[in-house]
Amino acid sequence: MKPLARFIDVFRDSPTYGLDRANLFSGLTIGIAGLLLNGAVLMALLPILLDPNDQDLRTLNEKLQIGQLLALILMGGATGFATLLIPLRLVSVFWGPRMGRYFDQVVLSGISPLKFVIGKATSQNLFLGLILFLLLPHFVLSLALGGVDLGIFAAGVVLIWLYCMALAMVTLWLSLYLNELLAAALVIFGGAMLAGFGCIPMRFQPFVMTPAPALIYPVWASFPGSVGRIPQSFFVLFAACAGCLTAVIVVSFVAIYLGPLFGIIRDNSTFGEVVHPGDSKRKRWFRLRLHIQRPSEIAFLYENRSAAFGGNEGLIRWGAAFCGLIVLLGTFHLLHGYYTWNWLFVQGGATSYRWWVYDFHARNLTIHGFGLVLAIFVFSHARNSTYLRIPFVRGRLVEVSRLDTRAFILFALVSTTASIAVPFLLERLAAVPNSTTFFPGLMYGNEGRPVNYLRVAVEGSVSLSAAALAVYAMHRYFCLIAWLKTVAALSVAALYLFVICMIPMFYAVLFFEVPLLRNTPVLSDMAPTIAMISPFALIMVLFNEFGPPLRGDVSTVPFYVAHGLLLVLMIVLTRRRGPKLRQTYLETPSRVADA
Amino acid sequence: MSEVVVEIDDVTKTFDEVVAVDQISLQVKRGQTLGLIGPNGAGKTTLLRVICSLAKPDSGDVRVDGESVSEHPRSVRRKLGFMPAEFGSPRNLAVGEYLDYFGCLYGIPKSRRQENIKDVCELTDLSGREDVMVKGLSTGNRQRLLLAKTLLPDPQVLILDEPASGLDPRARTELRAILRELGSMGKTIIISSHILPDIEEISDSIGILEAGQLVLDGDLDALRATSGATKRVVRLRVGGEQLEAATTALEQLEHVTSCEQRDQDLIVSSEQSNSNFILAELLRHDIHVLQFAEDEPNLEEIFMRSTVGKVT
Repeated sequence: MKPLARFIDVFRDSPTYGLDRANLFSGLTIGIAGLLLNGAVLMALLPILLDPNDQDLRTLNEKLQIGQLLALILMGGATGFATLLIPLRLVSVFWGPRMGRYFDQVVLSGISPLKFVIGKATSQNLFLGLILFLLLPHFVLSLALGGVDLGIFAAGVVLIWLYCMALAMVTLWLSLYLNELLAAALVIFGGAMLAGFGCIPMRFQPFVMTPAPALIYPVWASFPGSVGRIPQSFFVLFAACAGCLTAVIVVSFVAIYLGPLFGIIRDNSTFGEVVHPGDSKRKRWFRLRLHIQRPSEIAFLYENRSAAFGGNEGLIRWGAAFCGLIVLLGTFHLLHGYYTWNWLFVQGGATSYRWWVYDFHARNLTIHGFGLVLAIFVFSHARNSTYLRIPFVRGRLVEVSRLDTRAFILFALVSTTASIAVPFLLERLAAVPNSTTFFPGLMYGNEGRPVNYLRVAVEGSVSLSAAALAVYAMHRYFCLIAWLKTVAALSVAALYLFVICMIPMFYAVLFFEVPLLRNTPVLSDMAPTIAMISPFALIMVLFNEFGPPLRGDVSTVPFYVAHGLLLVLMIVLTRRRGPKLRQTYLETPSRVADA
Repeated sequence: MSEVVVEIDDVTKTFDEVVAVDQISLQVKRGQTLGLIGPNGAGKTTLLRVICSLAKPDSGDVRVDGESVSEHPRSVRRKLGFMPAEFGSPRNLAVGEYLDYFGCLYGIPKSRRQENIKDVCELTDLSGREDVMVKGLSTGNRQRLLLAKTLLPDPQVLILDEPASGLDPRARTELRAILRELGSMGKTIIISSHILPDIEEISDSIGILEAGQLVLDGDLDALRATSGATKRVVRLRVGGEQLEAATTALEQLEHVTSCEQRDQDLIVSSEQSNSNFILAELLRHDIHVLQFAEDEPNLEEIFMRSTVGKVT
């Protein structure tokens, strides 16, 4: 079969698609969907029916024609309906076969996991088609009433379609790692939040992961007061939304193809059973490990991936994750650079010369920090897969922990370099030709406290990387303790935030602000040193945000010492735990002679 | 010697402290039917799950058509058809839809799928029931449906876990007939069951498992020989006046281990697999034989002799 035909076949001839299609086109489903949709439309129109003289409505009605308003309500309703129902419909992707007790048969059929899972995403197109079909009379009415720009209407429909695909793909991606209901709830919540933020008029709208910014655009564009607060054209928003949604779909598709790295080890080496040493003496309740059983069964399904992937898993998986993070980091730096350049030198923002330097450096460090946090999570694995040896290239086996460590360090180096290089590059390419600078001596460019922005760019980036390295070591150790990576990540986030970031700050604030304590000789003298353990304090010191006790020239050594110690401690603990876990999970048990 | 299709090589599988399968080695040749019998907890299902890659062995390996189950699970899965003991199905499907769903899972092209479904329905006697809802099927028909599903991709090797459990005698007879037909089609079959007469009838070789260990294996004659259940029992009837003479004559024969009178009959046990020498001896003494019937130890007797009721 030709590659293109095979690719199409993955979507079209998926068994899950066939099953969904059979269930969707039953009279009951169509009836319920029609009832709910018309109910939603009625609810949306209710304010007009209840109080036609409402001031806001009248204002809106003066700006928009009735057909335009109706089309907006319908498209908004369809988006809301999709946000709620599409993730819920996908809940059954693994749940159905597991509850129906035929998931083992799915695994044994040899079907590729991508083909099995992706059918759900294909079937949601039918669902969207059903929604649009049921809304067709309303759409025809809105077009007949006039005021609807056909181009904008068609673009809206395209965005809704992309949004539904993105919703489906992200839900399926999350379903590989989380319980389906939790995955659906997260996607519904995330979708609703992003759509809500997308409705806020912004000149540079970052929440373009839903069609909401484009759908609401005609409303904001009709208000004269919005000029300058929203993008200049609908097309810009449409392109941003379409691009972002397509990126989400592609990334989710790749993630589903790769699947989770949940190794089949001794404990879960039988489909549907997880047996730990000592289970024969435990009560039944303590032998139930549903949260491990589910991913273990999915791991059996992912044994059906292609042989080419299996032999080069390390390169494909870590390569994709590393490249994905680099592309994300690069995109953020590019957008940030373009936004700064455009605002300063094209729109003349540089003349005001106040907050932008401060903002620029703060945002630059935020991008660096955000990338590092993602890398910490991506390049760590749960306890049962950390010591797995997987084929890296052409079957050469490499331990997961080694791949993780190397990928993280490489990414941290690239990110640190980028974070330091971006301000220098912009300085050279944009600021100097325009007779300005990204490294002024004062806080807001030409006023406020003195700030060494060169130090901010260099030491700020390096200190974030140092903190990330310590947090990474901590996360890797916690992954060896907790069963789930998410639990480890949440624990580390809470501990680090509380113990390393907040307590030293709180201690310092206490000794700076409470007069009685301020006069306690030794403890009070230690306050600046203790405060400087916190990365928050360090960044604030770099920006010279504190008063006299923590001026910009205070020593940052405590931060590096504390994080160095944390790093060493975590490495020692991890190394002590490693051999035991290797023995527990990977080595063949000695035979129980008298069983 | 025909080609070995399934090779189980020193497989051990433990669950915590329980050794479910203990260093089992077996070979199944192409077109052969291997019956696995054993008490509950003997490790039959675990062994079948290891063969079809649903359980990874702690040590040892299984090769199907030369490919290792541990190293190439997907490739092996495509060569096997596994019929589980438990019936599972998506909700609200008719028989035809169920088979179409699994046909799609097996990757059978759309153009061939309906033809395959028709063939397996005919083979399993489900023709005409394609529109019946799965949840409304009787136990017997569910087993047929499971078997039909297993046969859909035309696998080389069939792994059947307790296919006859819960079936009435008629359904069991029909299932045996289907399995015999599959055997005649050249399929390699590994079947586990508690129903010993079924296994005895359809298997070319038999493995007896107990407490995770392979106690005996081989064809029925080999099992008889290994288990010590080789004695052939002959029940014969002679005229009443010749009973004593017959007893005396037979007791003097070298291979006869016992000869006892029971009512009008003589029950003669011998170590020889052929009983003609008994008949010849009686005729030589001019004893008129009214009835002559041979009995040999059946699988149940072999099973009872070779197992002690140990469970894991």
